[in-house]
Amino acid sequence: MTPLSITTTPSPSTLPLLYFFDKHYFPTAQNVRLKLPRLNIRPKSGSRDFLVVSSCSTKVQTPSGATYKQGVSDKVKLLVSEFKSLTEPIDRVKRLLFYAAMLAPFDESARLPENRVKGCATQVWVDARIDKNGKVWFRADSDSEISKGFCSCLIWVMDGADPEEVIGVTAEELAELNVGVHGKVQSRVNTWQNVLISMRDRTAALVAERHVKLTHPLRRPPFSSVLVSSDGI
Amino acid sequence: MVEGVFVKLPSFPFLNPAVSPSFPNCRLGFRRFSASLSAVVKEGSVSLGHSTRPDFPILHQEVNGSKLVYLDNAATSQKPTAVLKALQNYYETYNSNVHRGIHYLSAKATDEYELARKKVAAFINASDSTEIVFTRNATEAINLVAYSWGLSNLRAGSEIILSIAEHHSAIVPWQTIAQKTGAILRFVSLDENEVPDVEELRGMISERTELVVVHHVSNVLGSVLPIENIVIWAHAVGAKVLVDACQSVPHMVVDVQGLDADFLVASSHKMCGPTGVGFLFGKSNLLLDMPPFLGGGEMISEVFLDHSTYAEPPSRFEAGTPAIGEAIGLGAAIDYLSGIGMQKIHDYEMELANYLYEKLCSVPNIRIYGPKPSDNIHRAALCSFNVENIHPTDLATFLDQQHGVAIRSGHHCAQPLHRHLGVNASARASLHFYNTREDVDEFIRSLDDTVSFFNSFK
Repeated sequence: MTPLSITTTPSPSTLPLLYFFDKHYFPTAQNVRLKLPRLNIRPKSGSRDFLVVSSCSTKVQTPSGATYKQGVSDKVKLLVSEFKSLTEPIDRVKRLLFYAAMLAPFDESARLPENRVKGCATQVWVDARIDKNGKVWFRADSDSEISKGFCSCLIWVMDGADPEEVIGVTAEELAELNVGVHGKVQSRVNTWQNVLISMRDRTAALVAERHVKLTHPLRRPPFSSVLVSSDGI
Repeated sequence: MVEGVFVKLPSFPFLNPAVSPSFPNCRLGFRRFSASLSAVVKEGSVSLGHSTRPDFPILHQEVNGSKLVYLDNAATSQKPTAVLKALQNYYETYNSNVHRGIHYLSAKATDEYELARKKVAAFINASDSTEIVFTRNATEAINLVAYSWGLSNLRAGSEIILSIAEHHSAIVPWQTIAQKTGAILRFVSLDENEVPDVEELRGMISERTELVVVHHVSNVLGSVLPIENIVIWAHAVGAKVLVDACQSVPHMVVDVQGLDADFLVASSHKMCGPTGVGFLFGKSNLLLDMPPFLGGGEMISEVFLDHSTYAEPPSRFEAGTPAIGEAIGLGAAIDYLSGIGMQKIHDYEMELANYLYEKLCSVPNIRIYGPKPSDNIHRAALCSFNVENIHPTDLATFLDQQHGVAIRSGHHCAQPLHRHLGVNASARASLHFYNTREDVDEFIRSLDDTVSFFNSFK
C-alpha cells in the first residue's frame, strides 16, 4: 500500500495525515479532489488549532518511490500516536469527525439486521468479506458522525489485512485513543469496543466458512442478547 | 371522555384532551403561559437554584475546561453535604449490623436505620413504616412485586396493563412473570398529546385485569399521569396498581394514601440520596399475604433443615444485611428535601420546566417529545429531543467535550417508546431544584453552537 500525502493550508501543530490516505482506502484515488468544509472552531485556551482547511479542493499526491507494507499493529500504533498528539478531548472528537467524512459510501442494501453492531448507543452496520487472496475487507456505516469516525479509523487499520491480524487487535490497544466516552471501562456506549468486536467476529465467521485454522481463540462479546418471549427465555 | 374529574394532587389538573399539539410542537401561545408563570417569582429574590447550589459540592467543578452544567438529573441526582456528612458520620461513629446485635453501636445503627424507614413513610404519607420495604433500587422493588405478589396472584389469562412509555424495569420483570404464569401484557399507546392515552387505559381495564403498572411522571415525555383516577378505575374491577414514582417523588408532593396506590416504588439516588437503596411501598394487607422474594438471614422466623417460617413485613422482604448507611443517607436526603419543602421545589421546577421548553423551542429543526405545556398540561422539568440530521449521541458528546454540559443520549431505558416515536435514540436534558435559569441559558447557547458545528459538516 502506498501512502499518499495531502497538502493543506498549513497548521504547524497538526500531525500530517500521512498515514491515512492510501489507494486501497480510496480505490479511485490518484488525483482525488477532496472538498473539506471550513471548520468553524473556537480553540480552547491552551489547545492547539485543529487542522484548518480551506474549502477549496485539495490535490492528493503520491510521493514517488515510497512504498512500504504496514501491518495492522503498526497502523494501530500510528493511529494511537496521532490521537495522543491531540491533548484536548474535543480535538480528538473533531479529528474523528474529519475521518467520518471520508468513510466510503455504504450501500443501503447492506443495512441489514445481521450487519448491525450490537450494544451500541448509535446504529452501526459493519459488513465484511474475504477476497481470493484471503485478505479481509470491511465497509461500515452509522447514523452518528462520531461512530462513523470510529468505523473509518478501524477500517483503515484493518482493511486488507490477514484475518489473524484482525482477530488479534485488542480493545486495550484502542483504549489509548481515548475519544468520546471517557475512561477505558467496558460500557454499553463504548462504540470502539463494540465495532472492533463485531469486525473480529465477522472475520472469524468468514474464516470459519473457509475452514482456515485460527490461532487466536474467539472472544465472547460482552453483551449477549437473551430473548424473553411467551415461548420461553 | 372523562368530565369533571380532577386529580387531588396540587398543581396537576386532569389532562385536557382538547389541547391539540403541533409538530414541531411549539406554538406562540405557549409564551403567554410561561410569562404568567414567571410573574410568580418575585423580582430580585434569590431563586431556589441559587440558594441551594452551595450545598452541592460536586456542581462546582470544571469539566474539559468548562464549568460543569449538570442536566442529567433524571438519571441520577446530586447529593447535598448533609447527606454526605450523614454517610460519613455513620461509618465513622456507629457502623454496625442492624437488628441482631445487642451492643451500643448495633442499637444505634438499628435505631437510625428504622428512623430512616419512618422518614420515608412520612415523606410519602404511608400510614405505617411497616409498609416501607428497603430494596437496592426501584428496579429491585418492582421485581419484588413481580416475583412475590405476581407469581402468587397471576394465572393464565390474567391481564397486566402497562403503557408503552414505561421504563424497562417496569416492563421486563412482567414479561418474565407473564411467561411463567400465562398472564397477558397489554399496552396502552400514546394519545395526540404524546402522553399515554388515559381513555384507552380506562377502556382496557376489565374483569380480567389483575394489575396496572404505570409511571407517575415519564422520564422521556415529561408527562404526568392522573394516578388517582387510574386507581379508582382499577379498584372498581379488583385490580391492583403499581406506581413507578421514580421521577415524581424527588420533584413533587406524593401522597400514597391520597393516591390510594397499592404499590409504589422509588429510588434514593434520584432524590438526593445515595445509590444502593430504594424502597417499595406496599399496603399492609398486601404485604402480609406475599411470600418472600429473596431468602436468607433477617427475613426468617425459624429455620429447620426441611423448612423455614418467615418474618412479618417489612423484614420478610429484606434478606441479608441491608444498605444500612445508605438508608440512613436516604433519611438525611429526606430531611434536606423536607427542609426546603416539596411544594416549593415543585413550583420552582415548574417554572424551570417551562423556561427550558420555551428556550429549546428556539433551536431550529428541533423536535421535543411529550406534551406541550399549557394551563392544563404540566410537564416535568425534563425534555427529550432530537435535532434533525444530527445524532443525539454526537450532540451529547460535543456538548460534554466542548462545553462541559452533561445531558443524556440514548433510549433512556424506554426502547418501546422510542420505537413508537420512530427514533432510535433521543437526547435528554433533565433538571432538579439546584439548577438555575443560567444553567438552561448555558445549555441552549452550547446546543446552538453544537448544532452549527455539525451542520457545517453537511
